[in-house]
Amino acid sequence: MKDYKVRRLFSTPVFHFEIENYKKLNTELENYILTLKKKYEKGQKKSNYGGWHSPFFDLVNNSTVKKFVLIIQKFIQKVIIDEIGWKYNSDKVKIAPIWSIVNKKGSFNIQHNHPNAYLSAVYYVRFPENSGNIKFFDPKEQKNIRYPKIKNYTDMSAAITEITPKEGDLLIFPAYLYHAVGENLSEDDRIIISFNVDIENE
Amino acid sequence: MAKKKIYNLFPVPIFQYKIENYQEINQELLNYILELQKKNKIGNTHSNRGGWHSPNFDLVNEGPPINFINKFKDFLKHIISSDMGWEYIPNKQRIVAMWAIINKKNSFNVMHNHQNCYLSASYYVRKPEDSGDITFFDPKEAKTYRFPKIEKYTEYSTEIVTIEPEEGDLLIFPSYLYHAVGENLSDDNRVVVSFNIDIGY
Repeated sequence: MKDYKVRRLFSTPVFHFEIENYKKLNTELENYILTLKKKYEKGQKKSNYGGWHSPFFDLVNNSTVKKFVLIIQKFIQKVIIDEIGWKYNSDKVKIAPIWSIVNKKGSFNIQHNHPNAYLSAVYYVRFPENSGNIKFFDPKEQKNIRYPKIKNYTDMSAAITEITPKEGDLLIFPAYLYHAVGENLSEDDRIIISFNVDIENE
Repeated sequence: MAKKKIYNLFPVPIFQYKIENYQEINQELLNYILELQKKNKIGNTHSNRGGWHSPNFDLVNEGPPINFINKFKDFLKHIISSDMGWEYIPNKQRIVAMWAIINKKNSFNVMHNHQNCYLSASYYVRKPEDSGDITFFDPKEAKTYRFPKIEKYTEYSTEIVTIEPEEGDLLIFPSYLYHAVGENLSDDNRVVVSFNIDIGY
């Protein structure tokens, strides 16, 4: 085929960071989460099926949470300023709420997005093999509702993209982006931390 | 700093292809279009403001439109099957309509998309300088309706992208993609041919 140009416009970004020296941090976070779990066994009911959804983290008094916030803040700032190009005013950027989900064997998360925030994120504290990947859904309804027969899925015809993360990975993406988590098929718990980022109007 | 990767998910493609020996086919198309205009001076009103929108071309009988189609049919097959990954069944994909728009000085096209087809195209027969570029609009309402203050337009924060094509360029894009054409600020006419492609099962 003669040369031609393909411009890929208006894609939805998922920013993927690998946190350095995450092991010690993850042990500390896991202890905090398991303590919360003991205290609030019922948790909350959101997109979690079978899994435990924690109450929202204590952002004021807990030193482990505060340490975590200091780490993620840098990445959020980088995404907002360098990658997306939004104005960053530290007084207006709110990282809240922050919560955890523990998916034991057989648990999963149904498709959902995060209203009233601009960015959402997920951080992997424990991620056993086959414990459930995250799937993202194309936000363009007009493309998903009617399309020709698909022979090969390409980045332009796919309506779903699955990402396989590792422990210590942080994914940041637009809060409107629908996502779901596959069933945990391993024997071990999958533990993640999730949070929203909102920016107040100026 | 930690390692970084960006997944650019669900892009909207715009294919840009230069027709071979376009000068010749452009002259043929221009003559055909001007003949149509003589017969139907009023034309149709769709997205055109001030410009003349032709009736649909004759795609049945031999003539300039068929000669034009022959110039890009292999390319079209290629993007359908390779880039989009859609199944290519020759008698299931068809050009449902083809027409021309002549934008004289100060004419433009308001934002619109093309319904009941999968791909749309615009081909540049005459494109004087400053005669109006094509602007595409982000189809994600959730993103374009409410957003933080933008300090720097990037591929992620922008909601419009303008492309400056040249004569002989063929642009093909998903029909759902809203677009508009800027005002013709030159003294010469801007002439495009547009068409829609639908694909059956």
